[in-house]
Amino acid sequence: MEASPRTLTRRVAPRFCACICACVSLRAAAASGQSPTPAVEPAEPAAAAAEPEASAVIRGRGAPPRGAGDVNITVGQLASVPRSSAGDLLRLAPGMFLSNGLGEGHADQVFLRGFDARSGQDLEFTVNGVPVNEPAHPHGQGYADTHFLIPELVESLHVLEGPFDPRQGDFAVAGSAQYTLRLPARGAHIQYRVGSFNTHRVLALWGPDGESAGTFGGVELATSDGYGQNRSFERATANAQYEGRSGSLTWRVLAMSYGIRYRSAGVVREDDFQAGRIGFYDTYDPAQGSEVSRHLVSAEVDSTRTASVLRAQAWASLRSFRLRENFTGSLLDVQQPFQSPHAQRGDLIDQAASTVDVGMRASARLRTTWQARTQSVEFGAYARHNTVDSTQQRLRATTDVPYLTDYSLDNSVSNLALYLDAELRPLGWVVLRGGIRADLFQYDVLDRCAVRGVTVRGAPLDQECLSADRSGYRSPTQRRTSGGVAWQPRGALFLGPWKGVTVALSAGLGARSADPVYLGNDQQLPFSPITALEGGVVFDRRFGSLALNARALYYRTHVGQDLIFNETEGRNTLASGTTRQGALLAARATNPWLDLAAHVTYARATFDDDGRLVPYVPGWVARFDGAVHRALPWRIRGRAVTASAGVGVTWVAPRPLPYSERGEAIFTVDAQVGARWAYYELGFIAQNVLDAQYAWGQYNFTSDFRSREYPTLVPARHFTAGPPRQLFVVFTLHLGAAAARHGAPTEPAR
Amino acid sequence: MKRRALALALLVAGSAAGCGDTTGSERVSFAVEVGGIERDAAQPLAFTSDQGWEITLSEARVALGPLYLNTIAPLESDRRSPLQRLGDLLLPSAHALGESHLSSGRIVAQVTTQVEVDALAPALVAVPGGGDGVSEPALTGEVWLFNRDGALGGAAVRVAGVARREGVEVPFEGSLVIDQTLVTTGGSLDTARKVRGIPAQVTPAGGGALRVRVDPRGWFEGADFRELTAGTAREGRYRFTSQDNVGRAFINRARARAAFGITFSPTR
Repeated sequence: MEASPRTLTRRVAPRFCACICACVSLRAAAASGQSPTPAVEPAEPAAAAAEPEASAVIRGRGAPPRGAGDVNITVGQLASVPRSSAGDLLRLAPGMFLSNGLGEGHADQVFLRGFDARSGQDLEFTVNGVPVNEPAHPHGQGYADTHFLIPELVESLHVLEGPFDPRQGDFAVAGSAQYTLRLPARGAHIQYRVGSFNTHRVLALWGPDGESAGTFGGVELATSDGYGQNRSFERATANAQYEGRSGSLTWRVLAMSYGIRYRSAGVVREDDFQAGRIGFYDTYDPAQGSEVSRHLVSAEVDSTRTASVLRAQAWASLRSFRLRENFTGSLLDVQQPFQSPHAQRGDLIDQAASTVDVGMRASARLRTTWQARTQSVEFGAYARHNTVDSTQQRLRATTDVPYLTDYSLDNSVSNLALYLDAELRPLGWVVLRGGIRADLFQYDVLDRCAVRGVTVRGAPLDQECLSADRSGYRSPTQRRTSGGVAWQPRGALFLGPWKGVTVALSAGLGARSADPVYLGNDQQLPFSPITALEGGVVFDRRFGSLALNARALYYRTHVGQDLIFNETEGRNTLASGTTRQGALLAARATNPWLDLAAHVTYARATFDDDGRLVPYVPGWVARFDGAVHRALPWRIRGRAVTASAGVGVTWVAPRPLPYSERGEAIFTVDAQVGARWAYYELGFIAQNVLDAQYAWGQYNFTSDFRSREYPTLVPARHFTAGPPRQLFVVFTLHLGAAAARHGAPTEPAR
Repeated sequence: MKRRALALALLVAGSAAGCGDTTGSERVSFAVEVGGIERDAAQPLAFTSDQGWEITLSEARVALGPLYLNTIAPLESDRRSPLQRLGDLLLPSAHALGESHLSSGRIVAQVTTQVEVDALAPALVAVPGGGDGVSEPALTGEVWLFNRDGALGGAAVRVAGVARREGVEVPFEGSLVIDQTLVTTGGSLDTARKVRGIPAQVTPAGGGALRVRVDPRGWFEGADFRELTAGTAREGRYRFTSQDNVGRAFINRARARAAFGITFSPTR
C-alpha cells in the first residue's frame, strides 16, 4: 500500500506523459507537463504532502480519499472535448448535469445526486481554496457563479460527492467541487475564437519560463450576439497567480477580476411556441439581463515538512450583482387594498447585491508512523464574513421603473468552523479517514423595509417601508440576529485494495446555512442539517499503458429543510425535508493517446411529508467524454503535426415536473478537432452537432405573458431554450521556449 | 428460484424507473359547454321579478369568457344551508372560514376564449378550445366580462323583452358595457368586469366537461320599469341606461354570482 518514491514515479510518470500528449490544444497545453517541478497537488495540498500515494489518488488513481464518489479529475486530454466554461468541466464528474438557459453569465444550474442545486446552493465550490458560493445572495443562498474562471487555466477538478470530509464547508450538501488553476504549459499562448452568432473571444495566457506551473497570468475578452433573441454578452476576465518557493515554504498570491454584461431571454411558454405565437429562441421580455463583477485576491502559504504540513490562506473579494428576470409575465401584481387602483404592472424582478467577502483558513497536518504505517491528524480552522447589501424590487414592464420593494436587507453573515481530521491505518488493508467539524453560523440582518404589504388605517396608499403598523408608530427597520453551531461528524472506511478493488463506506452530516431572507429573529438552528450515506466499490488498475478506473456506488442523503425553485421569487424558496437515494456507475480509461470517460447516475428525490417526487431533479443522467490525440505521420519543415479530436455526449432522462408530468429528454453531442504545427494551432468546434432543439430548463407554473387575448392563470409548461448548433474556429499562437521545441525531432510530438 | 429472482429484478427495476411516481396533482384539459338555463326551449322565457313585474325576454346575450375556477370559498351566505344558518343563529361562531373570499385565491382552471351565449337557448354549445387547469378542487368560479362586437354590439351583455305589471306593458332593451363608468372609488376596471364567487365546488378532470349556464331571471331584481315610460320609446322599445333604476339594477344584477351556474361532469 505504501508507495515508494520509485513506485510513485511509476504511477505519476504515465500521467505526466499523458499530460504532455495533451499539448496539442491550448487546454491540453495546460497539461503538457512543462513545469520545472513536479506538481504539488493544490486541491488537497495538505493531504497530498502528508501522504505520498495521495498524489496518485488525486490524479484519479489509487484509493479514493473520502468515498467511492470522491473523484479528482485531471482534465488532461479531455480538454479536447468542447466546453464553454469552467463550470462545464463539472460534467466530467459522475452524475453531474448542468444547464444554463438564463444567460451567458448566469450561474450554472447544477444537478447532482438528486439535487437541483439551482445556482449552487447544494454544491460547495472553491477555486484554489477560495470559496465561491455566496451567502445571503439575492438570487439564492449559496449562489455560485464560476464564470470568472478562465477554463483553460483549470488543471484539475476535485469533486467529492457527499459531505464526508471534515474540510468541506457550508453548502457541501450534494458535495463539493474544488477547482485548481495552474498553467503547466509555459510560455505565451494567444488565442482567437470566432464563430456562430458573431461570437468573438480573445485569450492570452502567460506562464513565465523558469517559474512553476502555479505562476501564470491569463486575460480574456469575449463578446457575442448570442443565439436567438436577447442573449448577447460582453465579458472580460483576468486570472493571475504567483507561486514562489523557498525550502519547505510555498506561497501563492492569486488575483482575479471579472466583469460581464449579458442579456437573458428567460422562459418561453410551450403552448405559445406550439401555437406559433413565439419562436423557440425568442423572448417575451427583452429587459431581462444582468451585470456582474467580481474582484478577488488571495494569499496562501504552505510549509511542507516530513512530519507536518502547515497551511494558511486569506482572501478578500468585492462583488456586485444585478439581475433582472421575469418568469411570470404580468401575473403577480394583483390589486392590494393599500395600493391605488392599477392594472398589472409586470413581474420583472430586479435583484441587486453588493458584497464584501473576507475569510481565512488554516490547517496543520501532523504525521507519525505506527505499525510501520503512516498515521496522520489534521487540525483546521475556517472563518468567513460576508456583508451583503441586497434588494429585490419589481419593475414596471417596458420602463424598468421600480414599483414595489420585495425586500431590502443589510446582511452580515459569519461562518466560523473548526475541524479535526484523522487518517488511521490500523491494518495494511484498512484505512479510516474522518473526524468532526463544527460550524458556527452567525447572522445580523437589518431589514430596511420591515413593514410592507399591510393595511394601516389612515396611511396613504402606495407607501412602502411604513413607519407604522396596526399598533401605531414604529421604526421602518428591524434587526434580526441569530446563530447556532452545527456539529458534523464525517468519516470513511476503506478496505483494500485487492487487485485494484477498494470497498469504500462513507457517512457524514453536513449543513447548509439558512437564507437570511427567511431567517427568524433568534432562530436556534440557522442552517439545514444534512445526513448522507454512501457505499461503493472502486476499481483502479493499470494494464500496460492503459490506466483504468471504475466505480459503482449507492448513496442516500436526507436534507432537513430543502430549497425548491419558486418562479414567483425567481429563486429557490423553503420547502419541507427531502430524501435522495440512487446509484452511479462511472469509468475512465486513459492511455497516452486516448482518454475515455463515461458515467451514468440514477437519482430518486422525494419529499418526506408526502413521499412525492421532488420536481426538476432528473432521474437518469449519462455522459460520455472521449478524446484521441496523436502525432500525424507527416512532418513539415522537420516538425511534426499533432492532431486531436474530442467528443462529449450528454443524455438526461425526462425530469419530473410539477403536476405529475415529465419533461423532455435531452440528448446533445459536442465535438472538436484540431491540429498543431510548431507555434500554430487551429481548431474547429461544433457544439450541439445534431442541432437538437431542446429545452434546457423545463418548468410547470403559472404565467401570463399577455400572449393571448385574456389572462392565463393556470400552470403551463415553460422552457428555457438550449443553444442550437454553434460552430467556431479557434486559432492559437504559442510562443516561448516550449513552443519553439514543439514537434521538433528531439521533442516528443504527442 | 429463477422466477423469484426475475420478479425481484422487475420490482427493483420498476422502483428504479420510478413507476407511478408523481409530484402531486396533474394538469388536465376538458371540454366547456355553455348555454342558458334548462327549460322548454319552445316556450319564451318568462318570469316574475321581486317587484312583481312579469318579464318575458326576447333577447339575452352574454359575452362569456374568460372564465376561471378558484380555490377561494364563496361568500358565507352562499355556502351555508338553511339548517346551518339556523344553527348559526343559535350558536354564533367566529367567521374566519368565510373570510377567505376576500383573498385572491388560486386559479385551478381556466377558459381563455370568449363565446357569445344565447341565454334563452337551453341547449349547451361547445366552446372551441375547451379549458385547462389542474386536478385540484375549486370552490368558486369567476367570469370576466369583456365587451364583444357582432350581435352584442360592443356590449358584454345585451337584453330585450317586455315587462308587464298591473296593466302596464313596458317593452325594453339595454346592455351592459364594461367601461370606466362602472369603476367605483378605489376600484379598477379589472375589478368591475369580474364576477367572482360563483359557487362551483368542482374538481377539473381530464376528459370531463365544464358546464356553464347563464340565468337571466335575476337581472332585473329591484327594477321598477315604470320609470322607463317617462322617456321616449324608440322603435317601440324603451332603452334603459345607467341613469335610471332599471339600468342600475341590470348593471349590478347581470354581474351577480346568481346569474351564472357552474357544474362539472367527469364525462362529456
